[in-house]
Amino acid sequence: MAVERKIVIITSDGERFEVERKVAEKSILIKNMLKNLLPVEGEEDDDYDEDDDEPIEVPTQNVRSAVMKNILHWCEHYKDHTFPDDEQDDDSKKSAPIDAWDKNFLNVDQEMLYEIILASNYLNIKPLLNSGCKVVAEMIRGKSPEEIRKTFNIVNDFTPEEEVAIRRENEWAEDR
Amino acid sequence: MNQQQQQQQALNNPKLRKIRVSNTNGFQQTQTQTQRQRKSSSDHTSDSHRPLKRASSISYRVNTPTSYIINDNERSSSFSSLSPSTKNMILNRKKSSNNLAGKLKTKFIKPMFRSKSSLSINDEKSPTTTTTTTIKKTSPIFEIPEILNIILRYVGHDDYKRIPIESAPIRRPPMSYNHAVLIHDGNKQQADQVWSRAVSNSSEHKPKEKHSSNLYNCLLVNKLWYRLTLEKLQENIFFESDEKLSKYNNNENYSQRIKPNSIVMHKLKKTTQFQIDSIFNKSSINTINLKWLEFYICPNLLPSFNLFSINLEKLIIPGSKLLDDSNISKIVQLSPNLKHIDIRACELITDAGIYSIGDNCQKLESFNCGRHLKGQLISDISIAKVIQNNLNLKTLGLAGCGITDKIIWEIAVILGDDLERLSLNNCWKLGNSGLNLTLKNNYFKKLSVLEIRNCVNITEMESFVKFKKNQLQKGILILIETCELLEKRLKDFQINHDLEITSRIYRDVEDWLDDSLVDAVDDDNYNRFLRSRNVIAS
Amino acid sequence: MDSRPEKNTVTLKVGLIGDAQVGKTSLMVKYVENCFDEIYTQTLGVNYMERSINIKSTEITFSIWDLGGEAEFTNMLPLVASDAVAVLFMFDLSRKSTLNSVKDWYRQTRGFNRTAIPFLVGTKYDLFVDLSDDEQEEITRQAKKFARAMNAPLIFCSTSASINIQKIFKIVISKAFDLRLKIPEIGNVGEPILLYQD
Repeated sequence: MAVERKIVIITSDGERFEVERKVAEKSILIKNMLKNLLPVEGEEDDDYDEDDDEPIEVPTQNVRSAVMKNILHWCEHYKDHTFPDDEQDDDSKKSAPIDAWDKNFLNVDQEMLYEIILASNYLNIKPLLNSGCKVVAEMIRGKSPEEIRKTFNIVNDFTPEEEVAIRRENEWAEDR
Repeated sequence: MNQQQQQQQALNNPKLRKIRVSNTNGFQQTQTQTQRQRKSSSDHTSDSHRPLKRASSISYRVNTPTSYIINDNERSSSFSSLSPSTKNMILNRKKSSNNLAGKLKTKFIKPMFRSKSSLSINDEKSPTTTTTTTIKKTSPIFEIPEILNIILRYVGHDDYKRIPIESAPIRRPPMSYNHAVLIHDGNKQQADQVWSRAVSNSSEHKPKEKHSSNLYNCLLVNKLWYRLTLEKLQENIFFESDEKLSKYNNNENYSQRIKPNSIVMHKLKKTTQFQIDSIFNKSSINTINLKWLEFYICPNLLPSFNLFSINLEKLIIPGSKLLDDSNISKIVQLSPNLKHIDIRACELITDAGIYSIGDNCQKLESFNCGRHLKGQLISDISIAKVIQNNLNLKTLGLAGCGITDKIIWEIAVILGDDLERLSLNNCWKLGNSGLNLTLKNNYFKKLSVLEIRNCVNITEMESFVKFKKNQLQKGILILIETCELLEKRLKDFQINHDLEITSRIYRDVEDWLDDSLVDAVDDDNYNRFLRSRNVIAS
Repeated sequence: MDSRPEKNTVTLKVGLIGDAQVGKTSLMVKYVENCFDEIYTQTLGVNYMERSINIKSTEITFSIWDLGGEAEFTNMLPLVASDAVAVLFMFDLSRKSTLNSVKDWYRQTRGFNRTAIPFLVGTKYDLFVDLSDDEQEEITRQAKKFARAMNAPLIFCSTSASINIQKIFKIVISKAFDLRLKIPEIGNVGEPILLYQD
């Protein structure tokens, strides 16, 4: 019985993070990478006994170390948890409040929050991506368009006429 | 103005670039253009590549030999200098563009024609999408559509709650003051409260809370947000006021068909069928996601037939003066997968229409054809067909219909195990051989709401009282809605019944207390105890 | 539902309250299972047992709640007292101190349930008879005084010798239904007291 091979994730700034396979596999991207690199668990190739102890290196050039650290912390917490397949987008799933641990975990400064969201999108970690988006959604709800732009430094690319036109065209949606 | 003159004019304007479309000479033309470009606008060094690029990307509209593009930065000022026909050509070209930028530019050209004066203000506010004038850069998550989509989904997650819905009372209000007294077991104070509340509710119109959708504000943030938010807003289309509906005109706005999940029209009186049909015509609506279609008390409106598909699950159209047998028949043939049908107070529907429903739909979970007038047009025959084919029915509303005790038996035998809610208000033909016997024989195991208002021929109340007790024992909260007459009958029976039981208990207990067998045992024990003590003592 | 008249069930909740080791659990076990164990097992918290008596078409179910007498379980008193039809305040006839405690138990219980019918029950009558005449007289006098103050029936019983156990619960039923009882009263010192008439 071979010992679980360790995975080493290498970030864009060269830092190395050694983690268990099931922690790393929370990222579907990494999971698929490993599927191609490694044999199926349980199968052993007798010829390569010496290499079995060597950890596998997985490069992630779009994620820097500070962000990866946080992401791996999240993965570690959920390493034994199976998330339900959320292909269905029904109202109850949409409206479920954010998990308390996730909320606490995502209580970081805005920049880091965005980077976590980006990274979880790149690494394909859907549950974390959804939680991050929920947090951002909460910051948006209740704000006027100008307030939203201010909070997120979004550039307004409408001309005043365009704004007027949009308001008029979509009057049916306002104050319904 | 002919083509030649147009070309002449264009050449005279140095700011315009001209590109030939699907023309073998196109490349040469653009070469010339590039040179000219370099002379006039030296700061846009990157723009020199643009003409070539654009030439290759614009390959539609073979009919127009020449077309015009305005450089983004110069859009505002140069438009006004164009002739109307030139502008029109630009409009025509832009209309066939697929991207949002094209769409918006098409629309917003109009206001610019009208008010030149407002163009000069706030130039900083409308920079191009590529340059950023603010100090802090926005996070890329708001620029990646997949991520922004997920965020907006959560922003509007509870928008479905804003859809106008008929308020469902937990208990119906009492029908008269005396009725209220009976319900509350003689407590006149409580009855007073409940009754006066009932009277005031019916007369005044309670204003509904209004909230703006959180998504509405997201429409105006920027163009990407606008595009994604609009998609989400259009998932649920609902109108409570004729005014708002008249302002909605989706033909202009969206060149793509919208894919709503629900369409709800609530109490529209002034809107015309023509308006409805033009909004919901085939080319503007894709019904693939349309599960819920509701026209709540819109007496003169029928949903356009193209809205019906195999995807439809919920059809609610009470109070329609137009819905008749042939309409409903057509509807159910188009939408056989319906799970919920509510056609209350659609008085044109008769046995034929109901039969058609029974014939075509087999997945119904709730069906309501209750009505106040014209009840005699619906009888056992058609209801039987519906029941026989829809074994999943949990809610059945037959108020005011001319059904007899016979159908009660059908319901009991076929649906009895799973039926949860049954309304038989004002079914004047029902007597003591339907409900009473079926309840006695332990049908309707899961029934938790039974409405029998004004079923005056039901006089035997014991089976109801016993049924109520049984359900309560099983832990099922049972509600039997009645009218003053029946409530009185129920209460009278209940009181007598309880009295009977209590006196029987007392009699039994008295007899038992008088019985001295038990005492004898105790006395024996005492004597034995004494004897054993005496033995020890001695 | 059958057409014969169904059984009517009446449930009576009875609470057993008193100092530790007076014999509350023993009484309950004796009444329900008809057995008695000399060995003492401390009740941790609350014990619960049921016994049903079938009287023709009526079934009377005693739902008996027994509160551990140690101080640490006093906070569970409301569990036992609330909604009870009858509360048996119990003391050990061989230990006068347990009779004194009844005053306190009564006061506390009243706070949670004003309408329950109180009973004063002295246990271990088999040990009581071994006391001196003076002691017996003193305890009997004191108990009668308390019973009068509480307006409660007074019963001396012995679980080990099965004396008066059945009668206690019969009196509970008669008081609960407010029906007359024909059991002869016993009031003399030295005998197992049975006083219940108003």
